Amino acid sequence: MDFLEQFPPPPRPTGDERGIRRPGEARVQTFTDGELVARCQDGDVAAFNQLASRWESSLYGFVRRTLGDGEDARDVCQEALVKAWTNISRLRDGEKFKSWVHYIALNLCRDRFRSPRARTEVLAFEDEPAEPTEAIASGSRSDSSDAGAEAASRSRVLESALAELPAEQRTAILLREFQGFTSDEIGEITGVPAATVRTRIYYGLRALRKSLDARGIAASDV
Amino acid sequence: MNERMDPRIDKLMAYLYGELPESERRAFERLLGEDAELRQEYEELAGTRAMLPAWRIEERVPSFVLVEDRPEPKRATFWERFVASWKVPSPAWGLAFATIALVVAAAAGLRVQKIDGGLAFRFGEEAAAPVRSTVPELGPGQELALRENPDRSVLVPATADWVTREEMDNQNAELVMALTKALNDYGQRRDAETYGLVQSMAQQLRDEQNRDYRQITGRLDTMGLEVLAARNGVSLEDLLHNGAELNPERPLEGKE
Repeated sequence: MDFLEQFPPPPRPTGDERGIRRPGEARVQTFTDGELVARCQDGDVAAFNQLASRWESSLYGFVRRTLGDGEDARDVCQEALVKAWTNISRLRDGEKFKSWVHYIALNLCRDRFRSPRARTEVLAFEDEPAEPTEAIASGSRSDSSDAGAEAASRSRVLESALAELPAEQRTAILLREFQGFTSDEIGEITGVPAATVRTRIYYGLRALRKSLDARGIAASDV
Repeated sequence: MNERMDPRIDKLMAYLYGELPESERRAFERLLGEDAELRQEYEELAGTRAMLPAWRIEERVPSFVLVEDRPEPKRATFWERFVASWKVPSPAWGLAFATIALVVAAAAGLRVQKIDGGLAFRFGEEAAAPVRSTVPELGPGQELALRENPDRSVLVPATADWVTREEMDNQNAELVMALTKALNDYGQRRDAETYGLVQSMAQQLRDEQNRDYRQITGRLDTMGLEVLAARNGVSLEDLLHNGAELNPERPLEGKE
């Protein structure tokens, strides 16, 4: 089923709901995603830029962690936002904008993984030796005075361990842990029931735990 | 991967992420207290979750801004480019060359007429005194005249008097400014090329003015018919094509 078909059409916002100011009313107003999407559907580019500004950090974080490369992530985010703008009239429930734009980005990431070049790069990335593990597990951490470098090492270990997970488990964990989506929302984005999402996260977390244990990393180390 | 799950584990994950309804949450917490294996599973999962925030993205998040497509800027006409290429002369030079311009323009057939307290500049032979555009009172046969006379001049005289003061002022201002600038350049160069350009421009001005004149009078012609139709309580379509009768008791004033 198409992602958009899962969402019923929203009631059309009235002028007041869409933030049209009456005389004497306060000027400052924060628009909901639904209100901004309604404006976008009327061709308001500024409203779309508000939406982009609101969710670009989450979107970039998700794509960046999925692809493992900042430059590719920028390209995908840009493409996803352009696609969102050009197809905004198809989004029937504006409050789902965040899920929708992550769904678009996820599909673009999948397209990249399907390309031969991307597969090569991902394999190369996953085959990297997990050299930071030793630094953390050997106890040499106490000799290091650079807390920033230590944090960077931990970050690389986690990145490497998560990269070993099957794509659907990694995607579910990223959307849940880093982007804050609920199981239902992840189900909408990935096209599976919420229970399946929880299953994927469960097995993903277990596999991650096993991978970190194999590298000699305990929760207290991170 | 086996994606079927033990219902207890499903509840465990829902509990881990705060997605369990309140009624089920309390029951599940009781179960956690009683089942050591389940509790250990929960603690391991929670511990693994707690490690994840250590994965940081160090680079700055780029900002994405959609830029609205804007229409291509209107391409300047030859005349606009020509005018823009001239420097504005000092007021004294401007006055001097404006005078010269008027003299030259007068030699080329420019006439100045006083109309409604202002000045009108025209080329060509002097026309008959402008007719105050009072549409003649309509008689019983004038509907036929409307149909038989394609240019409808019987009902709406197309005279220069229909040109508004504002339109005329704009035309006059452009005319004087353009000639001033052209002659200013000719005064400095005194070359045949610039002189040819001035002559060419003067011809272009004549053509432009004639064309504008036709456009304006054509538009006013239609407006006059609309007024005529409105005064008689019929539509323009009926007036032109369906033989709507005009009321001879309601004479028209040509200029509203």
